[in-house]
Amino acid sequence: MGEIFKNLGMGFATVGNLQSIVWILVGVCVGILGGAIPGISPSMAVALLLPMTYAMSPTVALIMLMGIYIGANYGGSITAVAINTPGTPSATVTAFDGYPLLKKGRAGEAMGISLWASVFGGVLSIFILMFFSVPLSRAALKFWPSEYFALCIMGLTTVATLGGKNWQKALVTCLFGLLLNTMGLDPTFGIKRFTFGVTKLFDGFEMVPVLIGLFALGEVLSNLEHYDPKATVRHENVDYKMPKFSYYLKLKWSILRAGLIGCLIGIFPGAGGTIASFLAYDVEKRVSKNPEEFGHGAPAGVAAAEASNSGSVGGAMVPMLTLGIPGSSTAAVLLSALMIHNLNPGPQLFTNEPQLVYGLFASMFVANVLMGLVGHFGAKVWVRVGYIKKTILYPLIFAFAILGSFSIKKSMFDVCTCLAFGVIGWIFKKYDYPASPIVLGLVLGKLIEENFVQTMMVTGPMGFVTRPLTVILFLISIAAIAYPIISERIKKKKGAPAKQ
Amino acid sequence: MTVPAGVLHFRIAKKKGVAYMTALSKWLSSLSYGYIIGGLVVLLVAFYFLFNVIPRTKPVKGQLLCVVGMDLITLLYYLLTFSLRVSKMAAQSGATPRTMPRLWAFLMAFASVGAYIAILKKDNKPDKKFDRWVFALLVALGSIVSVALFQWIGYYLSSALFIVTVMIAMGEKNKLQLILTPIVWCIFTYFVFNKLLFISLPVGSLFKGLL
Amino acid sequence: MKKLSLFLAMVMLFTLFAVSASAEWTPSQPITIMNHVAAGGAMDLYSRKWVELASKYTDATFVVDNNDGASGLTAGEWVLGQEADGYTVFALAPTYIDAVVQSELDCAEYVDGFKFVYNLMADPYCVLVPIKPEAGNPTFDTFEELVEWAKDPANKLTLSEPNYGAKYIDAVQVFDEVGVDFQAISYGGAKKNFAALLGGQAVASVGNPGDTSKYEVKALVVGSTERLAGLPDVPTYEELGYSSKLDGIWMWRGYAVKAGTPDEMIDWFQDLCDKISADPEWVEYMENQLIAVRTDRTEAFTQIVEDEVNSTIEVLKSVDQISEDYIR
Repeated sequence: MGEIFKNLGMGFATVGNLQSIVWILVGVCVGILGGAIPGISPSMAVALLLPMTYAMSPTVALIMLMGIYIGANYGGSITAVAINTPGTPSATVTAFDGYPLLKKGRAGEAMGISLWASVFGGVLSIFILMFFSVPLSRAALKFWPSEYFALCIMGLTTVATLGGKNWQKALVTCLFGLLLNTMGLDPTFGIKRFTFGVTKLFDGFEMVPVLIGLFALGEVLSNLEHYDPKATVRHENVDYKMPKFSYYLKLKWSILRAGLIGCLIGIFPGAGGTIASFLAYDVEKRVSKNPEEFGHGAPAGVAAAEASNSGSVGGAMVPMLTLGIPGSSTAAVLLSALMIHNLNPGPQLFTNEPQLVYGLFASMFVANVLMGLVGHFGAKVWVRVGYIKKTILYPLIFAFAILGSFSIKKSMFDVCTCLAFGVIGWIFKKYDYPASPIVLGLVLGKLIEENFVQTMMVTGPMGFVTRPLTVILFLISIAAIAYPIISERIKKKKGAPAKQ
Repeated sequence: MTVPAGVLHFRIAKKKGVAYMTALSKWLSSLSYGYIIGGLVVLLVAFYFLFNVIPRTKPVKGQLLCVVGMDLITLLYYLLTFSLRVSKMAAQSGATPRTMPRLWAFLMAFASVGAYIAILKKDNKPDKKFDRWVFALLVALGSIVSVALFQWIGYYLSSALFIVTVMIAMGEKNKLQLILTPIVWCIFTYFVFNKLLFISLPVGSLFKGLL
Repeated sequence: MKKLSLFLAMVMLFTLFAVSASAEWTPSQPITIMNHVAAGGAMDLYSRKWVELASKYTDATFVVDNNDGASGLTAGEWVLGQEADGYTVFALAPTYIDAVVQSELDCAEYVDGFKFVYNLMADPYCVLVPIKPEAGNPTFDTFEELVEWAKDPANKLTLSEPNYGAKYIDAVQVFDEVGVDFQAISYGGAKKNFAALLGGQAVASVGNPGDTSKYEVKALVVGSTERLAGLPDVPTYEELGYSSKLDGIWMWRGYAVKAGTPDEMIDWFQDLCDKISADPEWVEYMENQLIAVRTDRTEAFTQIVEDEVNSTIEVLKSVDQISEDYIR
């Protein structure tokens, strides 16, 4: 234990100079910008700036790229809250409650929560990374596909939370999303499925255009439908100010829970911030005293979403540093940065290059702090974005959506996907179909299939019921679905005698 | 022990059924996506008229059509699974490329029944009325046109025109904002995408010669 | 006098033309190298290293880009969609060929649409097992032990193969020759593949020698004509008594351009590749990865790719992954 603190001290000494702090700041700023722009994913932002780091020393290169990663995860929430457009897929859940809060005039609160939940969730995951990375990574290796499968099923149970009263419609849209995710090359065998001769569909629908279409364009089209140029909208009582620190303390348990969930889920390669945020949101809703507030502007919802997706950053670094197996696609780019500088991750990295590893940990702390500062001052600007005049805002959102979809692969097909899902989002909004279960289906579909087939190949169907960890996860899922139904029945029974 | 006649008949019928499904599936997969989308639209329109006629379904026909649309696509995908190739490895493992889509299709069938029941319940909210949907649709179509124009007049000019057009259509009268907004947007995207992130946006064939 | 000066002027002009015509092609804008794998993948790392070393020999700027969509098909399509002006280079490996054949696409377009310019390396295949297998899984010290164990009908040899790609093709050829049945499990990529192997989900994996320094695995046999300097204790297939054909299968990685690219560009590029392949820093880098440096130009490289296409088609047809009707 003392060893770790000593090494951490050395790490802080490594990054304690002006040059390093400037590079971390540059990384954080670029990351926030990249994350805010839908179509620029965190992994893309890191990859784009990777060539710039060749001339740098490995430590400096890594800490700058880390700054980008951390900044990008927060940056996505800015556009999610301001214009209901998640800048990164992991900010999808932030939009669920962040945007409604903004519409209610509580923009400062929404921006503040998403910023500080990000910072604290990130810091929590760094602690876990520092103290538990080696044992955690060993545990992660023991996770077989059947456990992943059970974890994904657990993720699917959150659809009940997302649907609320409309759970039948939510279930249908979720299954539809799962079905849509089967389009493309089969993840295991590479067989073309439902591609209708379109090679651009070989990877299925690209996630970001679907998100932008469903949430941003759906919202804009719906607003345009009800648009009245004569109605003057006065944004009275909009609170632009960020809340005082004591306000955030009220959300400390939500942040703690969500950060922990985010970190744990981030450890598993393939399961990233998006799944973590869905699960953390679900847990938060279940333990909340006011679950009906969720989806309409619950501060705890925003906190949970952001804390968990920032927590997944630390989690993704656990297997990356200890085993050379990245926990997320952005961690994969960081891994390549390490390898370009001829460093091989693994347990020997901790013993051979402690100043690099602990310098990295120290830089993650610094990056989170700098992000808090940048976000705090920057929020004064971007908190007003959501209240720009509609005649300017809506065309710009459209242009933004098109640009974001195009820049992923420079493909027109993605733009058309975005527009198509925009129309679908509009129709869903009109007829009260929740759009978020489709996203859940699209995120989990391939993972479920991959792990199902792998389990069948590795252990056969018995693998689902013989491995203890799998069974535990399944039981949790069953409990998660059964609990609200049973508790409602109990409430009704208790209520009935009282009526008499 | 001889197999009872009934079981034999069942097996033959099953084989014939599968053969028929496979043939149907192969035909469907040979259709281009244009025909498929066209076919879906025709079916949806048919259902629309059907729902319009039945008094119980008339007030919720929009909600019903959403589920019907999803069900039709599910049915299509289910039929298409019959022409998916099952390799030796897949057959060995028991989980083939056909497994998951069929599972989702199967669950979808159950879920949509539940959705139909929920929608047709007496206390369910009726469809919301359509407001200025033509306007919204035109904006959507306008964005498609703007995207199609990228290759000729380039991203910057096309998106500037799109922004101005929508602003005017929304009733913006302030000339300064009408001019400044697209210009600021183009400058912003130029610096962030071209200069900072090295993503070059299309310049259009009309202007390529100039550069 | 006038005639003489006119004559001299013509001679000068003529010389000027002759000189400029034979002048070397130089790029006037950055050249994009499009990788078929994501950032962090093998060819991506090697092409970035290559670009770094290229700066020693030329002022040309290279931009390394990635697109791992559809196992490299999207990257290939993108390159084919560019102008054949010499400013786009495709960095590819057998994975791309495998993706083309697996999706039953037209080779005339997706393979012959390229001119294969330079193959940089030969990365041998080897059979890898964990150094410390999980409890319940057998320990192997030699390849013969693995084969004996697998021949027992009660045992099942599982091979974790990323995406049934080039390594799976090699596995099929090797174990067909050896006469052992195996079940291959596909994982999304090399890293997940080794996580699964180390976690005990499979008993062995076909990989590259470089993997022995990245993960806690050891090689039982290597498909190379001679033993590798970095793995002196690992025998080759021929030494173990198997067909030497197995030692002739290796993973190539190189560059291609769209067919129709000017020959001057190709010549310039090939000369640059030769210089880098001879650079001691590159040689050392490749040696550390246990990869052999190669200098195959168009004719040899095209033959290598052609062999890959044919063996891929043969193997995939034998396991029913593609239709019998598919022709090259």
